[in-house]
Amino acid sequence: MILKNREKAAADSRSTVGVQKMSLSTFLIRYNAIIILVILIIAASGLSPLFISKTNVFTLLRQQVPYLIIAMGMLMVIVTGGIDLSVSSVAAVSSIMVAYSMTKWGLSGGGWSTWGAIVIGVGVGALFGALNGLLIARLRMPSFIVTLAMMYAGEGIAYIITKGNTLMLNNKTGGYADLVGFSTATTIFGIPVAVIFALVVVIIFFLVMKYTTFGRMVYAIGSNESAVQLAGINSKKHLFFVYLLSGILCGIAGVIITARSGNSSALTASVDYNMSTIAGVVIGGASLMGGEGTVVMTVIGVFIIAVIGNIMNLINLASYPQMVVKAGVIILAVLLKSLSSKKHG
Amino acid sequence: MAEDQAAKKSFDIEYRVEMHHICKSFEGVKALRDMQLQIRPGEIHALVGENGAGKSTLIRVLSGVHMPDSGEVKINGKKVHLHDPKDGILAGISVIYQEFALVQHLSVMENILLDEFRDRKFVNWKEMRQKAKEFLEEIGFGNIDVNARVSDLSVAYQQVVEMCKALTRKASILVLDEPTAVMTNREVEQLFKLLLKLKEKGVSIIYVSHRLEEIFQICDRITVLKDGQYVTTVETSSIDKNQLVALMIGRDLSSFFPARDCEIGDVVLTAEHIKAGRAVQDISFDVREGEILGLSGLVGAGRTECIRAILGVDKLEYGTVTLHGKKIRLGSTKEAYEHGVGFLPEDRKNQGVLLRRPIFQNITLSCQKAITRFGWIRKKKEQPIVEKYIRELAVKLASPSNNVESLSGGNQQKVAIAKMLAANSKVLFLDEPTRGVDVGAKIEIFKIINELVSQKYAVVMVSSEMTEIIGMCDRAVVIKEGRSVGELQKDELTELNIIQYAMGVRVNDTEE
Repeated sequence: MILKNREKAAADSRSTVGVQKMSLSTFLIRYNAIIILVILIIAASGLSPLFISKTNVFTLLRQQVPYLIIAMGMLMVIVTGGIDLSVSSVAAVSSIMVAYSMTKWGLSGGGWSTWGAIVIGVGVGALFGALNGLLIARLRMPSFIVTLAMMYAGEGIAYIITKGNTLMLNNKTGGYADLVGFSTATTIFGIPVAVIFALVVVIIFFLVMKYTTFGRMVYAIGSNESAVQLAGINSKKHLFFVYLLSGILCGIAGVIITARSGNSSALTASVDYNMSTIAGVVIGGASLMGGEGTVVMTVIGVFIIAVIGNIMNLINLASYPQMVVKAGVIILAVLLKSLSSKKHG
Repeated sequence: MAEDQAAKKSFDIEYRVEMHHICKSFEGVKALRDMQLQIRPGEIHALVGENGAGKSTLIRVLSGVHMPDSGEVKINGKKVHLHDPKDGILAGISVIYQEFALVQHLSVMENILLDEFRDRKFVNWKEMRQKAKEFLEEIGFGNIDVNARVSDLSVAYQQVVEMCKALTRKASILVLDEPTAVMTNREVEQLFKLLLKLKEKGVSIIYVSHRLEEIFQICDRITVLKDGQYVTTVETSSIDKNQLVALMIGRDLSSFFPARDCEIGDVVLTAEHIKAGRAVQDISFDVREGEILGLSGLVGAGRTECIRAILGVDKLEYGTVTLHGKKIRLGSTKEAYEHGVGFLPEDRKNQGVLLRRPIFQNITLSCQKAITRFGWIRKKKEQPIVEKYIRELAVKLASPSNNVESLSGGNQQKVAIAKMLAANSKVLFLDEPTRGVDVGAKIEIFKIINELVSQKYAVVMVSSEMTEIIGMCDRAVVIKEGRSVGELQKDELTELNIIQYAMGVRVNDTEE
């Protein structure tokens, strides 16, 4: 009798420990992206001493700014169980509208007119996001189709506005100095201002996803929307805001893209912002079925993709083999996750 | 034809189907105990019993969906072991469920000859059309166009196609599960004609239905089940409706239900002439403070749909809802919660809780306003609410930050109830509050409900278990085919009274 009780107590304590502490294998499976990133960084440092040089690190970070910002929106969308394929196109249109308003509408005087151009760029992103949100949340259309259509529409609009040309900002205007000069030259504690900005965006989204009702509802909707609705929550409103925010973030990314290079063209729509951010979010452990995924792990996922590209550039590997290696890493990361979920039944 | 000969030959044997001493449990719950069933060749045999009497389980065992834990099944006198539905089909058993297994966007011909398409590499369309036509003519429905899309057919014709498909599989035993539930009277007549034809051909038909008129019209014999046990098998001609109803009920109500002593106050919510879709035609009821009102009736009578319409989940086409003397029209559960009306959905796992979210987040899901400032969640406000409900409802858990799926069914349901209560709802709609939980948890949930009404909550409870309605409710409204057909006070709440209303043996005196 006593023995039985003791066995039971032991079993009980074991089960509570299992609940609170994570076993090593669970950790490895859930956070495999961290390990992959660490291994990649070590390997990269070994392959090329240039990798950990200050110039390379900052270049890498600066390159990733638009990806990180767009990935925050993509993460939210994916957590709700949706997808946003339109991000590259929306960022392109925003970027073009910034350049267009500065070159054609005379918003190049610096000061407030620069802010005007930025608002136009972000506003265009918001408009696309609102349209996505309306069709998906209100009219219950599948996000894949809606954002696919918006991807084509955005790219088309980008070419219509630019007539296929590159819009160059005049580097003698105050606007150029405000936008391009500020973003390329300014550093805070030696860190480029754009990188600081991306960090702030990431921190804000970390807090929003973790500590606000909105963030909690995003996860809840992705976990089971009908239950959320029956619990007395306006899930459509939240879903609309998710796509609106994704659009706004693409708008911000568009502004940054123009600010970095001082020009803008429709080619931005063909940059792999959509596929890379989706890959980053998924490598970070998010599920395309919704309900899972975190900001921190998304950042890790984005950098995994980035480091692979960067190291292969450093060792002069052509871009086509790069793609194959990227594919391998994506499969590996997701394979570990699907193996673990199979184990849990 | 081959199946004709097979059928005729088997007229010689006494029983087409024999099931003896069948037992089947699901996770420790006994669904069938020492069950038996004997079906003669060429008879229409009714299977009747209350909700949960074991009819569906018995059919699933017969058709091979479930393996019985013990007992034997004999088909045409030979012992068989059916491991899956395919074995059942090979043994000549075809089950036609309420949701047909037809491919909606294919033609009648393609559906009838589905098996042939699987077995062939090339299709001779002309021959197939001819074949399908022959099958239809044989059972007297040559007027159905073999090229028509199944989705364009009426429900009755879809059923004919389904039966035709069963015949191509040389079915000698046909099981119909509530075939007339969605049919018009004319369609029912057509179905009966077909059934009689099949009967002449020696097909044995097992007919599951709640509609007593139909059973007395068409069935030869009736087997009655109760609580997963065999009651009796009788010749239809030797019994009348009231006697049959008496056979289906008469269980002993133990002291299973905790006692309650509370004062019933004024009317809080009134619903009048609610109409919504096909399922809800005209339902009226009211509920008072400190009262549990039961909504009783057979599965599919329209109880859940009625609640959903009142709460604004589905569209309310007609009718009025009055809350505290004011007419309201709820557009969503959000508005319902804002009015202090809570809802516990019947499907716990898909609608009641978020299985893969933490317990504490589930509890505070519906009361976000109370725990946030400017949209930011304040742990200080959230934690006491979570702790309060975990303590008061005695939710057994390892940690509130574990996912709800780690809990047992009963504790999951408690979390769903906590969520509703945390939103400060005073009028509660509970749809099957004890579905899928074990007996111990059931009693605990009953105690919680009792505690709530003693605190002047008003509760509307839907339950398919009559004992639950009788044991828990102060009053019950019985719903039949989308209409409220009778109201029973506490002292009138008996199984006999409920089932007489629910099956239409008795009609409300006050109705015109």
